[in-house]
Amino acid sequence: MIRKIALTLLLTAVGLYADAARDIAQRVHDRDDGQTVIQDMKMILIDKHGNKRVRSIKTFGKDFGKDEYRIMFFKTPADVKDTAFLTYDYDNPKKDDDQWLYLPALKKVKRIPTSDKSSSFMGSDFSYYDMTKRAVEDYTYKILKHIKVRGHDTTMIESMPANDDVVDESGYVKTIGLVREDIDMVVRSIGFLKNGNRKYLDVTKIHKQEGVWVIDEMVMITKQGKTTLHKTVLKFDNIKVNKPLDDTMFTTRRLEKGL
Amino acid sequence: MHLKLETQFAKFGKFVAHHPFWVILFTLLMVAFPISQVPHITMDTSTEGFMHEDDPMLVRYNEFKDQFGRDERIVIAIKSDKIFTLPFLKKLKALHEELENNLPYLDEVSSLVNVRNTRGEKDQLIVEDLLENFPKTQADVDKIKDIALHNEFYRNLLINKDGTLTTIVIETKAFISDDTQNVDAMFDEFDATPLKEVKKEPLTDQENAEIVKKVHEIISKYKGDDFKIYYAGSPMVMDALKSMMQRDMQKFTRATIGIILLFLFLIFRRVSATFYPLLVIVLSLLVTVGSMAYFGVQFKLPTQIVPSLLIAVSVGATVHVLSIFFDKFNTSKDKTLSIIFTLQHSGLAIAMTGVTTAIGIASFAGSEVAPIGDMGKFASLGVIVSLFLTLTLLPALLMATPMKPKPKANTHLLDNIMKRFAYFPTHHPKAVLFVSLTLVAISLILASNLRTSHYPLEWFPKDDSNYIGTHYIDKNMDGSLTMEMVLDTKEVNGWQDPVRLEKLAKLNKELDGYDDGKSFVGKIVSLDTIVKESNRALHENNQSYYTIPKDKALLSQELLLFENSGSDDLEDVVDSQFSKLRVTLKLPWVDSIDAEDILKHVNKRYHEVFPNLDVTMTGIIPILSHTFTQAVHSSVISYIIAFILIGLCMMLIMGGVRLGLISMIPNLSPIIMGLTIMYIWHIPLDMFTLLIGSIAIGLAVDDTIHFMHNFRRYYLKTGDAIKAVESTFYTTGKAMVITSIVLASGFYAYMFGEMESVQNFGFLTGSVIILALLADLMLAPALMVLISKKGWIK
Repeated sequence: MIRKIALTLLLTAVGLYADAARDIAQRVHDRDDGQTVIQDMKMILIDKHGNKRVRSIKTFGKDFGKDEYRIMFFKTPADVKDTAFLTYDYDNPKKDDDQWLYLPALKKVKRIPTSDKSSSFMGSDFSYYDMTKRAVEDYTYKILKHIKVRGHDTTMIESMPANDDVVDESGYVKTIGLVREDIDMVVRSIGFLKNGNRKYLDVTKIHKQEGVWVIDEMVMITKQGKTTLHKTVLKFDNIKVNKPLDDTMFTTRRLEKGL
Repeated sequence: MHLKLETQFAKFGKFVAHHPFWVILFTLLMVAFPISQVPHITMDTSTEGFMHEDDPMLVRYNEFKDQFGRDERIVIAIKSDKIFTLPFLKKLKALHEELENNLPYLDEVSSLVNVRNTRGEKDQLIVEDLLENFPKTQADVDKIKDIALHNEFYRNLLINKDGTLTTIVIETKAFISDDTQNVDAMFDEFDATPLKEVKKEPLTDQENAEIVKKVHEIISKYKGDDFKIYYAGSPMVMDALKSMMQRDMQKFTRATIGIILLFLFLIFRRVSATFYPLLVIVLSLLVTVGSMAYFGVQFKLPTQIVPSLLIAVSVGATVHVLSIFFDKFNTSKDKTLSIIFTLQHSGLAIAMTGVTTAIGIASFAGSEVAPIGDMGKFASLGVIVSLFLTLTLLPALLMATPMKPKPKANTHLLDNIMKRFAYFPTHHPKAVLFVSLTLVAISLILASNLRTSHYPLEWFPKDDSNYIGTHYIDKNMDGSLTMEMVLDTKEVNGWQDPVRLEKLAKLNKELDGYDDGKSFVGKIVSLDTIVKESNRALHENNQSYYTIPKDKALLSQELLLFENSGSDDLEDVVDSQFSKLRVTLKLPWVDSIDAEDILKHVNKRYHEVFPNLDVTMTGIIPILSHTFTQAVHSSVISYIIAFILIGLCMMLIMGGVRLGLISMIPNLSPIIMGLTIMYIWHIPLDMFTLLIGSIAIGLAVDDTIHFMHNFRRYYLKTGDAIKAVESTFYTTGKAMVITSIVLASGFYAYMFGEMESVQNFGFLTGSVIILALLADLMLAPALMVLISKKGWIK
């Protein structure tokens, strides 16, 4: 009997602990990141030899209910200037995201149906999946420990995909993230890819603006073992949060029109 | 001079006879340290192991692999008339996924399941895996069939023309980086600045073997009547080749030692005469391996010849000691006297054979092929060690072993045979000389027609699945191997240039299907394929847009689009700066010698079309071809050096230039005759057979020195050439016959090996041993009788 009670207590404790992890994940998901965001994104692609390619992109994002729409215009390099992408990212995991692109050299808008979010975001180390919020119920969570990152307390949380579909969609078989305890923001994470490689995300610079924490700079490094395969630095400038944006901003017509 | 040395050997013999235990202790102490190093020996059976580490070709190959991954792929081909049916595709998908989920060190599995399918549909641009939306009905499958059979990129890469053969191509990692599974250590990497250079090791043969084993395990589960599986590709075939070869060599090295022991026992009827030679063989082999370990030299495929070489040399030397010793002991019944006599009589000859053989083999030390160079260095050391032990440990052990003299019994037969042998060359020297030289002359003509080759695929038994699979896939999918070209513009976005890309597309089209009668280019994959596909897809699948766009901006935008499309195929064909481009050309597996021309042609064309770019040909096939051409070339040079050095030694030993040169006739003739045997039996001159030459040199030289040295001694004593030949035959000659019989039987045992190369090895080595004996029992005495009349022997 005592053993039974002890076991029950233990299980409850484990359960509570797991719930605590899930709560954190929920808070990360629910964190206010602004209704709309406008920013200049500089994408620096660095190969394993240290060679760099730089792209600058103007991006506009807006929440439509639980869905998130985003439109991006390339400014440089010159050859791809005015190339633009429009993405509808649906909260419903069953619904494939919509994407359109506009190639100025062809003067045509094309729809790109995509179900694979693990693919590279504009040729960078970030995937589309990395650029969007994760559904909380897609994972089971475990708190591993508490450590300090750049002077801030963080909780280390391991997220295991709830099923194979999540693995297929995300490309990750496991993620371990560090969540800053004061602001519920993932500041570092390691994603374990299906092929054994790992992706190291470091959110290197953030600031608070209009009551919302925004990212100024983040780095993603793809590694095989300890060897760097490729690296992407994203730098954000002229960030404007919660500035009213018209819905017509997120249409294919706007895509053709350009900036 | 010789007399002085022989007196020294007699003195040494006296010392050994009186202090056998000290000698045993001393020799064992000498070999103890190198032998203690044996456990540190490492094996390297990789193909790259054939090259010196600083070889520019290897350096470039490693750069290539670092950029684009491993070029060696495993190809699994599935034959079925029902490929485009739901059950087949389901099974294919299951196999694909099982491989993907279970293979270690995997980079990518490609098949119809996940091949890129870029197409335009109305206002849509679709880039997806071919079976991403898995078909539900036969109508869906028919649609897929239509796409698959009309896609130029897939043809002969993943599906054959008539849709009855499909492949799964497995790419594995080229380098394994040291890894940690410790989460804290991983997070520590964030703050580790600056990023240190991390150690990466190329995929080892053991790791490759793990992959191959798993592939076998998985595909064996899927084999069936409508799912007939073939496989090919160098990771699989080379693995099978190496392990089969090692198995054969090890098995028959053991068998050879067994046969040699048996013969030794039959001839001497003494346990000591059976196991002491073995002890000398084993100790000198261990010292050789231990020294390699000490100097950090790995044991590689060609080094496998070393045990055989040491067996041959050690048996020769020890049998001479045993034969002379027991003859003397059985008649004189005095052990001390017999030991002294043996060392005085044969010590110098044995020392000379050892040193000469070592010098001959050492001439391989400079080989451009790394493991042959290693063999030259360490096998010559082994020969010296074996010589040392034969002259110290062996007599000391004989001295220390209690034994009784035996009356001469079975040696009568051998004495009679020797007598007959002695008669012919001494009484008909001119006839013997004439016949021998005619044979050698004919051999020279035949041998000059000998075909050089390197075609390891042919070494397999013809019913081996590697052999069958490779030929089947080469025939039905136009090749199972690849060569790689890297075209470096040295400028950022160098390949986002429509003019340059158009040139590439044109050249690739020209070379695709190129056939020079010996080999052919089966398929070419590069950036132009991806661009053409995208361009067509963006133009509503209109085939007339299967071209490189002329507008630079459009080209850049299409490539950006492709980068964003979810396919990571770009990184396989171009670096992220778009400065370095890779072209992969599929080839069948043919003789390296036959592949030379096509490699040269392809390389030349890319250089001609892109004179301003840094053009590199690389990949395992060009490297193999280069290595083995190099090997044949450098072996020929090594042999020439070896013969010159041996010639000098012979002059020194024979005490004159003229005699030294004459003694080279019986040295060279068995090797020339050996080449003729190769010609007659269609055995090509490849790297393996070339190495046999080193054993042949060792034996031919040993026999000749033993004969010449003793003949000269008896001749100077009696002044009668015929008597001198007879005396030589009764003493040293017997030892030569015993040695040769023992060794030839030992090596002929290899003819029962599974692999053709191993069979050839045994057949050739055994035959050369017999030929070397004949040269010294017939040709050498005839020569000596003739020149003694001229008074040249002083």
